[in-house]
Amino acid sequence: MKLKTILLCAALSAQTSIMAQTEDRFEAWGPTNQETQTGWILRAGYVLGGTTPIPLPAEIRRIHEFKPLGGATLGADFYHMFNRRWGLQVGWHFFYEGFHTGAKVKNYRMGITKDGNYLEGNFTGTDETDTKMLGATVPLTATLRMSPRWNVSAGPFVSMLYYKTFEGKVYDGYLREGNPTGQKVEMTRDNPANYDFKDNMLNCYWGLEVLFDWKAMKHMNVFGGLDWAFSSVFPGDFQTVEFKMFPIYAKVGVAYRY
Amino acid sequence: MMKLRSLLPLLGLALLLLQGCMADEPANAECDIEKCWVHFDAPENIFYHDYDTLAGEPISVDRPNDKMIPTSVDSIVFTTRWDAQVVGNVPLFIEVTKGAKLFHLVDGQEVPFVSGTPVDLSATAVDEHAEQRFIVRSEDGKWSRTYRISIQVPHMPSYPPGGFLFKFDGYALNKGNQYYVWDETNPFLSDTQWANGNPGFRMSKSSAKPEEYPTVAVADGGVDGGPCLKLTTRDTGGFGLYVNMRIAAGNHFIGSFDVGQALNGQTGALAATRFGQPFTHKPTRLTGYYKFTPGEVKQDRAGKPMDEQDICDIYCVFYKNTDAEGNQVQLDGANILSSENIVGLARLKSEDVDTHGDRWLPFDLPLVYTTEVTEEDVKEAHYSMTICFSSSIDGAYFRGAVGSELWIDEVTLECEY
Repeated sequence: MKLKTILLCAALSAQTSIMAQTEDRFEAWGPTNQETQTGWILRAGYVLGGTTPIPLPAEIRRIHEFKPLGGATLGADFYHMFNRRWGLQVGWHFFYEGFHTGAKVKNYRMGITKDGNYLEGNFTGTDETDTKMLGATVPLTATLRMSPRWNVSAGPFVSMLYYKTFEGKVYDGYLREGNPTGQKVEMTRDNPANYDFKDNMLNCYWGLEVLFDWKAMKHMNVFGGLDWAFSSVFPGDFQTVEFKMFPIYAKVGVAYRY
Repeated sequence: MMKLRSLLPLLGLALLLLQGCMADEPANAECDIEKCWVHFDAPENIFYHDYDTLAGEPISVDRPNDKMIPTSVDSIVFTTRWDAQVVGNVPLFIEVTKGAKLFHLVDGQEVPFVSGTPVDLSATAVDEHAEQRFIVRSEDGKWSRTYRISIQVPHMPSYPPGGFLFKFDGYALNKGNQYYVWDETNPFLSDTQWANGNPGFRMSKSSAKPEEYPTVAVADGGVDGGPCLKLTTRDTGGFGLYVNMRIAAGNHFIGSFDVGQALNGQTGALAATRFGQPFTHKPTRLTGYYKFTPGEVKQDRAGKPMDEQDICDIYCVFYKNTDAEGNQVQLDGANILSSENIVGLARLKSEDVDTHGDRWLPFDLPLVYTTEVTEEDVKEAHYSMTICFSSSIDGAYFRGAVGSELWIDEVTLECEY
């Protein structure tokens, strides 16, 4: 909710600052094809973000490492304007995104299953995760020319994954097997327990995309936005990671408009 | 490009929000007795060693007198001299998990217990059914554990003619019906603990049936048609790979297995097998029956095939259980065959092992003493003894052949006194 408020404030302030300017310059946005009121935007950008439980559970005590492992997006949007300000936009954005997190957890419920075997319990210690995803996002957004310089588009998206990893290790701590009264299983830094849950990941997820475009040059936009997933990358019956894990990625880049 | 910069704080904000969501630290959910000790004014009249007033296991070789209660334990036992007289109340000290609350169960009522309060443990010393119960409740109030605390006075040591016979007849499934556990049935050594790596294997391969564990009982497979031991080197399947422990050799030994260390890498795995118990007899010879069939391909820790045949291991070690400063010494997988504390050793030579495995064969291993021991020291429990069987000689280092099978029965430990 907080984020939405911030986005709204940002949108409003941009709106008011531009009221003074002449409305004629809206035309400069396009569309390319005046007859059909349609146009294309090609985008290239940098992606930054992670896959995280929202809200953060109390069991996660501290995130001491957060490192993007590179991220990029390349895509195109096709839009149709209904009037001078409003339109509908559909896109196809290839993306690659990765991140590394290290977190201190306390009494963190976890379990591992493999080949019919399971080990579950409450882990206290350090958890490190590397996630990489290569896929395509298809957003369907309403687009609004807020001003001659600013455009915002928002709407749902679906992401499909072609390649994915979710691997990591737990160490510097211990697992209480079954529950907090169970056998303590020590895991030191030198001997982490490694895990790899890529096979448990879903191939698609959905969410909401918000994208701001700022017209920098005649054909060039600078854009920034957020893809906030509302569905977990793991199925609901996946016990290993007890929390729903939502990919949340910000992107910034340049767009060519024609 | 100025406007772009105004966007970046937005992204930063989003990340900050995630951090900002961090909730207050949850209260502790654990409720263990971590340390437990008793105080006697003259401990030498009650115990063989001063460190016996402290229950549990040494935390590490470097801190021999810093003992912790293993988390798998819910019965805390102080083992005294066989001739100890425990009378009256004994100050009992208990440390629990931070934040947890400790209660003494008195006439069915939970009474808050202050560490150091004298408790009557004398009844537990003479009656094995007598007990003092303590309850630990976690800081978050959701969990509790109940512990029994008792003093155990061993029987007067006596040496039966012909030696101590171990038939491995007293077996059952563990509480969860997952794997076999053994109770010593030899009346002269009823407090002898046989242990093995089955609890560790369960962590890795919970789907295994009791017969698929490394250490199993075979009801009618013995040399006399009765029960015997079957030790098999197994693929750890499930999670063994996650912790780089691909195989588990079948083992069975006198001592204890610390499953908490079992998955903690090579160092942990070696530390997990705690060999030996104080023994007040001087062993001279280990005899028994075995059958051994090696598995097809011996592999190294990385799972790569090795160009050698797997072989089993059978040995008996007699070692000094204190160091020069009087600290407790408990040998483990890292030093059971190399420690300077070893005074006597009997071991089956690899080249003498028959690998056909088609019939029971006797083994007869004299203990070779490198340091002489005095009867007085032995009777004062200055030495510990272990007997160990393993289906793969390098099993502790995760080298062995899956399928190597060692059968054991009718083991006798002969002693001088």
